Amino acid sequence: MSNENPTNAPHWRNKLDELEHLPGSAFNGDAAWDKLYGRLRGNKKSKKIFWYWGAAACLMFGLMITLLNQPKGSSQNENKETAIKQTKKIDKPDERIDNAMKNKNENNTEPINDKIVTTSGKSVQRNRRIIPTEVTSKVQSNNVVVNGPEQEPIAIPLQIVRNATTVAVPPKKKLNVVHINELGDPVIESSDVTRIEDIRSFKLKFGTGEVFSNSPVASKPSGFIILKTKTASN
Amino acid sequence: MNTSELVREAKHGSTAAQKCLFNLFGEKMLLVCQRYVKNPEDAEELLLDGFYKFFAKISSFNYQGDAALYAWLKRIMINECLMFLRAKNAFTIVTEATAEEIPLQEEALDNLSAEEIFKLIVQLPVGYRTVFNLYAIEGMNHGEIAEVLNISEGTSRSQFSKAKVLLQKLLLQNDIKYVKRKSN
Repeated sequence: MSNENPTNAPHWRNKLDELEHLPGSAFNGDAAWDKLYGRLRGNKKSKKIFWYWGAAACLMFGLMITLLNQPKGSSQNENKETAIKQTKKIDKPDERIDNAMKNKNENNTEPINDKIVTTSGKSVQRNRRIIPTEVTSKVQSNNVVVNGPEQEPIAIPLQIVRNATTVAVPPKKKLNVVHINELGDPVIESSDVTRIEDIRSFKLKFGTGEVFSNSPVASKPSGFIILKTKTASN
Repeated sequence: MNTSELVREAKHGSTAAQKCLFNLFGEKMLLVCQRYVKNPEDAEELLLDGFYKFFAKISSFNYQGDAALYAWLKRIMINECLMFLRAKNAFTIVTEATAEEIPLQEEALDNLSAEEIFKLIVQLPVGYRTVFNLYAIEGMNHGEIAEVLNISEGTSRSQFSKAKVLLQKLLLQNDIKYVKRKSN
């Protein structure tokens, strides 16, 4: 096994290590370097591109999340919900006013003349909703004074009035927009066409004594004008 | 500019230094690749792969001399070649036979030139050639070869023995030709 010992470095091995190039082989160093340089440069570019794409992907992901959290129908649903809540709240001020009036009536021995309660000069009937425009125009101070028959003002908190002023507006129906050309041409009746009704009865008298006359009534159903002949008696 | 400066510049990403290093070691490394892979196109491709890895990992290389740099570069090239051969399943069809003790006539090899030795080695089949390269030229033992090539140690021994037998035959043929050439 002496010849199998790799530590013994024979002369032929040194020769092989010293071999620089093969005489027959044509190694094009420049072409090989160009290929290698292309790879090295491509690697740098690909790294940069990777980071750019990564940043763009993160941005898009973030935008997608924000868009998904705010779906299209949510704003409309929110509007509907708030409208429903507000309509529910509208009923409450009347009840409160009623309760306040009842309490007042219970406390005062004098009966109330009418069921009409005036609010700062304007009259509002009981169990009817307060018209928003009227109230908002009058409400400028913090309290609305309800004048009873005893001339004792009832203070209603402004918040109640404000809640009462909001009225649910149903969503408007969108009308389809149609181009005028799609509707077609309007039918114009030509004035040249004479109606049967317009034809008046007439008579033709010839020199021979023959008389022709028409009767539009008779000609109506068929649409034709019938000329009737009459022979003169003289 | 010496090799250490070239390495330092290449570490900083200097293309000129990288090209100098490639020109300095490229052809030698191509010979190393061709000793393992016969096809010149494959060998050149492996050379480029090896240098690509070399430049990619050069920042972790601590320069301790030209010999160390050469050994490191050679090691990268050999690894590339072995990976290539392993991917081609070059070592799957190897018969595990008992290693025959056939002495290699090293004197006969000494009489040959470097190119002739190279051509003799390249003529060996891929399994024999790889084990012969790793054992007789790179100086690895059979245990290491078995680990690197994922074969048993016995297979490595037998492959080396068969490589030697074949080389003897080739040397005899070569000797005849050599004698003929001398007589002419």
